[in-house]
Amino acid sequence: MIVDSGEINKFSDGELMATIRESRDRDKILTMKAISILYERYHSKLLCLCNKVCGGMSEADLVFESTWKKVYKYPTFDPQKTNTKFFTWLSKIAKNEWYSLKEKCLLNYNGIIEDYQDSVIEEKVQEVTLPLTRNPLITALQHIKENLSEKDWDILLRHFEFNAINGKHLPKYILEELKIKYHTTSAAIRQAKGRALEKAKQIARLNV
Amino acid sequence: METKKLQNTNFEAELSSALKSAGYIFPTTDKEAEYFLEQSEDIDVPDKYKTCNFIFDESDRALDIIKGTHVDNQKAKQNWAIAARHGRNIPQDILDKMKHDKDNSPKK
Repeated sequence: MIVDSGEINKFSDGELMATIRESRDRDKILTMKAISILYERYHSKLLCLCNKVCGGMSEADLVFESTWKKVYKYPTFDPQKTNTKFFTWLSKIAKNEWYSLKEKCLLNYNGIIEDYQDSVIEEKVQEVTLPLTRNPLITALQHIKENLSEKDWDILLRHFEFNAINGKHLPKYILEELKIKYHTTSAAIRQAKGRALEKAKQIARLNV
Repeated sequence: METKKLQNTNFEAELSSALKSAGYIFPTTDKEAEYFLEQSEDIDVPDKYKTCNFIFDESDRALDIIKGTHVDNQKAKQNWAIAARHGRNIPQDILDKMKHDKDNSPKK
């Protein structure tokens, strides 16, 4: 593939990913150029997202870095096949990287729960998505956040992040992390989630 | 009962989607991602992330940090040596032998 350096800047995200796939073993400079253009387009937004989701800057940094490394190592994004946009794909990778980071962290805890691995794999693939026009709840989020304690908000977010909603349970490694963080029991975590959800519902009713 | 459960399910699904759109959790659909991209503010990117050079570094920093734990243990190693000598100094004849061995070792 011969690509003019001015021309490549106009490539779509899908074309840039195709360039990375096709040139990575033959033309290192072209590959690096393609990934640097994608990086330029999305790094600031992804970093913002990682900071917001992961809380601590160090975790956010690790997720951000490993996400981009995955993009470079496995440039599988193809808009025709995946039927999704690049940033959505990037966000899903970041999500998996964060899951994986949390799992690795668990390995360092003392007293690891024995069967965590099965539950992690099982919970990881579950998804809850809803077709969204303009979700009216978005406007209520700030009120919900302000009216919940920091702990309850955190617990609520973890449940949603790890799809522990609609009757499903948190992966054990996240439950363990929350127990350690708040010096509490699994039952108390579940109660806090129920309490936070009920309060969120009331606030949503008033603000939507 | 079923209606209440359904309402709960819808509320949780809607709240989940709203949290994703607002970037509190990772977006998983195009609509959520688009909304996030539109409404999120640009942030000050630290210097280390102004370029994408880190992508080509093959080390797994995450794993290194989590393992935790490369600790420089030179000081402790010195203590082990002292402990092995039961706290005593190295006798003069041993020191002489060490010096002799060092002087006679083949130069690289």
